[in-house]
Amino acid sequence: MRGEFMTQHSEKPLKQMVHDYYQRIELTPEQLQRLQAMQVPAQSVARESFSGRQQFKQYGGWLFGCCALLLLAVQLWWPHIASGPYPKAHEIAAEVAYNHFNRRPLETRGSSFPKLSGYFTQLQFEPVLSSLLGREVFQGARYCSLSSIRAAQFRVEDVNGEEQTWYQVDYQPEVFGPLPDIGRGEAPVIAYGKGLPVKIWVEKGMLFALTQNPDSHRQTAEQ
Amino acid sequence: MIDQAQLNRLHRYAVSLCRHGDDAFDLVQSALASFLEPPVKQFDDPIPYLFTSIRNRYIDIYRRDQKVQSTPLQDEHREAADYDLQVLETVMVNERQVNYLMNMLDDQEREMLFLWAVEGYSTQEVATLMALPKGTVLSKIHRLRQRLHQSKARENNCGVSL
Repeated sequence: MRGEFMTQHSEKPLKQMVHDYYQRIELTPEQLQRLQAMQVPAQSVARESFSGRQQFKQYGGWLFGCCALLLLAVQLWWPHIASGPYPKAHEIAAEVAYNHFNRRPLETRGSSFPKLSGYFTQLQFEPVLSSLLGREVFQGARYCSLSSIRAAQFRVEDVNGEEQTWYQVDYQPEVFGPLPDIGRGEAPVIAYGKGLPVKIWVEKGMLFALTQNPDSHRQTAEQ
Repeated sequence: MIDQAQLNRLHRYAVSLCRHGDDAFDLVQSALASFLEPPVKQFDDPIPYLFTSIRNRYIDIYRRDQKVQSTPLQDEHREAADYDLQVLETVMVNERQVNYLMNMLDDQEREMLFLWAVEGYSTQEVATLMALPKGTVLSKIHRLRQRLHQSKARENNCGVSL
């Protein structure tokens, strides 16, 4: 009793007394257990997150390098991926279709190919017939160009009586890119320019491009 | 992981705000739950963050319910200019006086005393933590000292408990 009285009346610095006052306040074991239990799932999440960050730090550089290489490869190969095996075919088709729709005046008229080809005296090649031409009827011809290379342009009437444009030019792979060579058993490629199908092929060292009737080509495709 | 010692620190701080053990536990539990919510927060020392969280929750809950005690400061700022928490270092008290003091003080005064005596913060740090101007903290110290003197004088005169 006397001891308790002495404790209560013995003076100490306020700071220490306040400190001691609060040190006596503690969570009950049950409260402590509840607060600690709350941290168990969070700890595993934190561990996973930490582990993930560590792994990223460890392999992040490699991952970044691989992504950069992949991006570079895609960028380099994209023309091949996007355009298939004949990346220039669409460019050729676009130019052929443009000239087809323009219908510039013919410079020479006639239905005989030998006669029409005789007109072309300023070409670096000799115009030839292609095995893929069937019952087309020649109407005339004129000088033209394809990818800035001088070409021969013929106007023909197809089996349906519709006018088509037939091009031939010296095939230069470095300019026109790879194209199907029917001499090697490859099938012509059909590329579209301004909605018009254009059949393109290489034969006898020449590049040929023939516009197609969209309807008949569609029917053929559907069949 | 907030260990046992840290959990008790948080609890004591909460008690300094609301005085009641159960309310203090609720504050700690709520702040801890928020702290543990994803995304995982990475702190070298999470205690200051949790102190602030507890304090904000206390203000949200108790101010909203008009439970927070506050005593008007009047014009004590000027008088208190010369005071600092260090002036309390020399004050001697006994256990009865401390118990009396804890019941008599409002929540801000108790928090201030806790941060100074238990957590060891300076006057400026206490002011920052409590989001109060330093002058307000100084005037609270001034008033606290006055009350201590008054209560000690009363105890001496009456010879009875405070």
